[in-house]
Amino acid sequence: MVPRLTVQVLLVLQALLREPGRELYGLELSEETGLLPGTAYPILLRLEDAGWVTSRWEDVDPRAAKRPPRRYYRLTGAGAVQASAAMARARRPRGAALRGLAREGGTP
Amino acid sequence: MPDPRLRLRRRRAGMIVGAAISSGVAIWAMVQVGNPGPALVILANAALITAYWPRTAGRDGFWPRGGGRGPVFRGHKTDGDAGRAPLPLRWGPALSLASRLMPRDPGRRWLAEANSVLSETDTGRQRAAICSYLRSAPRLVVTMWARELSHHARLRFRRPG
Repeated sequence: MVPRLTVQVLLVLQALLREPGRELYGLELSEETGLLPGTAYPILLRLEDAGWVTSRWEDVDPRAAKRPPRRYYRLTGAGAVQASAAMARARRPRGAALRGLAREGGTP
Repeated sequence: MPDPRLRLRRRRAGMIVGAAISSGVAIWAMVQVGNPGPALVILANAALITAYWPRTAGRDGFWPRGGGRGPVFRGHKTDGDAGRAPLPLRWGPALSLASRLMPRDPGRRWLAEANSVLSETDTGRQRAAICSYLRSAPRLVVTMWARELSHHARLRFRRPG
């Protein structure tokens, strides 16, 4: 199942694709994308359902770390390939947009 | 960071004061109007106190682990106060309530992740972050229940072989 690629989804994918093997947790992702954490969570859930992203709880003692464990997300192998393709498609200008630009430039 | 016991006492006191005020108003309304409808407010207060009575042992709810008869009355597992930065008192219960509207496991995961992120968020940005979690909650409730129901339906209608 391919998730709907909204601007927010693309922002999350872009952040994860920067270093595909790297794991990011909610707050890091929110800082890198500029999205609020509550907005990023449903996106990550959808990407996880689609098999593009995998996640795990950090193995840490909350008392020693003085904070709750983090949930880390990273792209799966297949997810990285599909996300790169999706990003490339998103960067390609659409026909309608090109026609709009042409009209603005006065070209018939 | 305030003493966890003090926080607990404040939460309990807030709960009792809130319940006492609204129950008082309900009783007054019942006497004035003569309609038993406001009794529902008193019952709702009792249910809320029972479900959300703050405890230190890692599980909110009035009855200890394993007690109670339904998912709400069995209490809600939390990670206690271990390493958790204090959330604004108004919002912690709101997040907990939202998580209870979700299916059990996804709801717990959502709440745990929200607590984890919020505990590391700057105080100045915490409010916006909490609001973003609460804003996205209704849609998540619907999505999660739809997913849960479709999962159960698939299991139920799957033909053997």
